Amino acid sequence: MKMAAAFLLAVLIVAAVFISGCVQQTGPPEGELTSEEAENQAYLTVEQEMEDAIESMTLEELENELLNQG
Amino acid sequence: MKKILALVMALLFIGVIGVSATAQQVGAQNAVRARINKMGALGNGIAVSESDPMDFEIIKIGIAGVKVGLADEETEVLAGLLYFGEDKYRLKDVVMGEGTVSADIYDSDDSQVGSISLDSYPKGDKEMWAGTLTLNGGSYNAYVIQAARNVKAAEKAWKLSDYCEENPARCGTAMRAAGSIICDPEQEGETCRNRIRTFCEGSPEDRRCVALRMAYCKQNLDDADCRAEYMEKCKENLGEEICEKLGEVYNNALNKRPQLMNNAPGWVKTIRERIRTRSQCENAGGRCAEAQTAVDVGTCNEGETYNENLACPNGGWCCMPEEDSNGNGGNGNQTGNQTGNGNGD
Repeated sequence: MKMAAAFLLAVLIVAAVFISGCVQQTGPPEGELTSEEAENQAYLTVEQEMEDAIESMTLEELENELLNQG
Repeated sequence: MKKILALVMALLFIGVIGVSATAQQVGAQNAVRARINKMGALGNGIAVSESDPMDFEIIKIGIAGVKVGLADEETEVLAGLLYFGEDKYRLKDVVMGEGTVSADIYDSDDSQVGSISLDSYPKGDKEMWAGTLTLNGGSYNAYVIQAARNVKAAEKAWKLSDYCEENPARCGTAMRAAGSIICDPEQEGETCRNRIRTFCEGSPEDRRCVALRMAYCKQNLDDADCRAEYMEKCKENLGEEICEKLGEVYNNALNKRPQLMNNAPGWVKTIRERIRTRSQCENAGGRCAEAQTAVDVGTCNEGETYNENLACPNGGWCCMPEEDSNGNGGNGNQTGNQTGNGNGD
């Protein structure tokens, strides 16, 4: 009996936590992005792309690269 | 009692983990999405003072059109960043053209402190940018080497989806020309576009996805990724229609700085010559007849005469209106009227 009661209690606690967690997270997105938010996100994206694609070069390496292209 | 406690603790632990996982998934669905839609200048370079060649600085630049949104709504933001040495600046009022970029430079206080304007041109096997940079009262000549970018399959696929939304008929035509359609974008709308996106993300080198990418790039040569993709193709096959378009894009920068032609790749010189010879005929009021075969020089319409002094690409004839052999005032309308009358008198 005690085991059953404890089990039921545990299930109820888990269910309560689960439901409260889902209620907080679900629902439609809160409106559209403001232009400032969209801009900031765009800058972050560009910055990330620069980090991924551009290798840092020393002046000597840059000079060699510019000269080698000619 | 201990067993009961252990059971309760285990159930609580499992429940919390499950809630966290679910919350993360649901949260991810509501997260801001951002993707590069169009790439402008991206790379390392150097800025040299116009007045003092010993005054120079290493620069890094990134300019792109980024699509940002929540859920299904997206907006495109043209944004850029400039590193002048260690100093970081935001680029605003960005304008991206076919082989050109310009922007105003803003510091961390959101005050405009300069501007930048660059033109791209091919050098060796890369794309370069050259132009002017004004910053904090100084004027510089700026040079940037365009970075080779590993474009993600998802990003490529999104561009195709957008292209098919804006040009459903051309989208279908491009796929049919490659052999078969993935689905019919005109009949199936968004469902088809989603299918194209998913398919091409998984199989970016499928001939239909490649054909769609080429069709997209024909209209989007302001995207540096498109120019890079075509540059590779044009090295191998100058006959592609897009090669001439790409040549025209680079022609602008090369006309501004003719000395750059010295280091331009061979295919650019060939294309440029084609453009030049066509321009000679057209500037004189003529029309380049299309050569159908290697020995056929095309035909001039009634009311036109062949001008042997003006060349056309591929050896085709330059046809001039008969009334004005110098081509002044001559145009296609005159040719059409004469043809209708059957004579040029």
